[in-house]
Amino acid sequence: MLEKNDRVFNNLYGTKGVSFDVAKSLGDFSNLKEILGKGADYIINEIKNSQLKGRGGAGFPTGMKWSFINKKDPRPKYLVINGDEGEPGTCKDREIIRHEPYKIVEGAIISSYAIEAKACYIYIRGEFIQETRALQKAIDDAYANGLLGKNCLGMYDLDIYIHFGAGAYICGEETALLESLEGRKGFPRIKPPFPAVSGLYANPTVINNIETIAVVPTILRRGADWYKSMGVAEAAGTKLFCISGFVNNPCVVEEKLGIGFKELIDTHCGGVIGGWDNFLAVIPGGSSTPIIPAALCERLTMDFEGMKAVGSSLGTGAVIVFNKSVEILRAMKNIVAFYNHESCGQCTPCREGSAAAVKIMNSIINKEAQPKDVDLLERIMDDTFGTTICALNDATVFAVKGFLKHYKEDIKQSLQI
Amino acid sequence: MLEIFSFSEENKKLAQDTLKKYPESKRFSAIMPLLTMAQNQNGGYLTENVIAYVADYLGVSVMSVAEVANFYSMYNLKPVGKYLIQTCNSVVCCMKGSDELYEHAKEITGTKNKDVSADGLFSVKKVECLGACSNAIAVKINDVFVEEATKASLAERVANLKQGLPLEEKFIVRKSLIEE
Repeated sequence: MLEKNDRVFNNLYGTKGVSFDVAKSLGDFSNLKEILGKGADYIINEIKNSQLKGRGGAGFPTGMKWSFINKKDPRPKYLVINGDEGEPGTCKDREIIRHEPYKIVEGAIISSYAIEAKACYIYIRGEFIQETRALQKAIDDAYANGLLGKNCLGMYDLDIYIHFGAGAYICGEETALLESLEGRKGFPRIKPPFPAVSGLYANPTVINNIETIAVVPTILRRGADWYKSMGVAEAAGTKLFCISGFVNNPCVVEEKLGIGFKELIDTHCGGVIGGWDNFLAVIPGGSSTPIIPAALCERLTMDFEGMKAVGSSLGTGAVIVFNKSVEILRAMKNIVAFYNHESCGQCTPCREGSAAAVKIMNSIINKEAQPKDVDLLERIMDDTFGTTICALNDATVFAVKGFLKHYKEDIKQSLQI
Repeated sequence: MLEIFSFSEENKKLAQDTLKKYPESKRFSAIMPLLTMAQNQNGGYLTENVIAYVADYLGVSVMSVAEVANFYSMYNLKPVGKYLIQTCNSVVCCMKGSDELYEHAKEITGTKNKDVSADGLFSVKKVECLGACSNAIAVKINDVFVEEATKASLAERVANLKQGLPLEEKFIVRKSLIEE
């Protein structure tokens, strides 16, 4: 279990109050000038050494992403922070935005300094308008205290702007987000070029998740070695887990990567509703990560390798727990319908494939399907995998294939009776 | 009759401030924030005239604004009640009974088989993941979250709104069982 002193987010629930003074009393901004004084190369290297991986689901090494920005390029550089959280099960950034906004601002300052960006846009899903007041206040406080604007601390120029989404899950995909920020429909772009070369307004851009940015200051303050000392080999540090579903106390909590699944649920959530005998399955990292039946969860650990061992992945750290009151088939149909609804419609395999999947799953639920329809569902998933511009369709495929891997024979049998 | 729309003085100022967030040649970036402002001013929904006004205000084509208005689900293209109740339909909330809560909301607001209640106060719709899964069932009334919503808590909210009471903002923060 994570020691209290090792928490990055020491005010995750806002119990100490949310203000500039409270943030400072908890250590935020304490030696910002000293950190920046070590230089951009030092900052990027230290983040590389910390092995921090992006916390938005894809897990790309953050320091490496920053190093893709070519400093000799004369074009303006941008930092874009992705706060469009919307993968079902995921509600961690919401806690950071409303209770730890000063960590986002300080992280934005340091990260922008590292990549030489003079403007930073924070893209927040439109539904979080109440939550974002705290973040806007944090930005205003930073301006008032000479930490944003021109020639701050005698070292940098930086402006931070909030841009709201308006209800489109696809805008969490980084190039769709850029399209949206540029005032268009959220259609993902074909890559390459990657955003580091041609991102916002066709300029070099780094896009990081809110949680990733928010942990940057603490890593630099306490050192990469401290951060690495938590977690496990290939999954260093801590992570916010958002636990939802059928546990006694659903919550968002920071823990070491590599913590046991059962320990996580017992310690922070008071166990599964009805006890572990009533536990059915878990979706461990947001709705696109393959479901894991109870039998495989005994020794499951919350890290990249642990998840891989049971054919799933860590995703956003959104742990959705099902007990035996849940009909898995209905839950999966709901998930596939979500991806169908949120498909931007640009690529045929995604738009039509997810629609066909919903249709087949509905016919299974209504007992109108035949066993061969289950095979057809699987074939549609296989045929559409990897054929689209972005990963939204692959998310659908992962979810459905993960489900079929464990429950296909049960479903077929139910249709033969 | 064709209604005429233009930004209020307050929104005109806000629109100018919004434009300053983006590079001068990138006026497209202000389409979404201006559509949101226009929708709020126009009673919660957009009409062709409102969309055309925003396009004209920014000096961009009507089509480029219309396609944004059509793409994003938070832009309403039909009239809505003063209070738009949005029940989360995604997997966690759904497994916890959001379908039933939605039906209940339709019933108590008098919006069964219609988009807006007769008194103009309410609309109810299902939306995709609201991002408050640890506080399921999540409901939003306009900009305000109603977390861990039940039939009773929603009924109380609706009754208060019918009486003309203001929309109360109250977050529920779920903490780990480990002491802070």
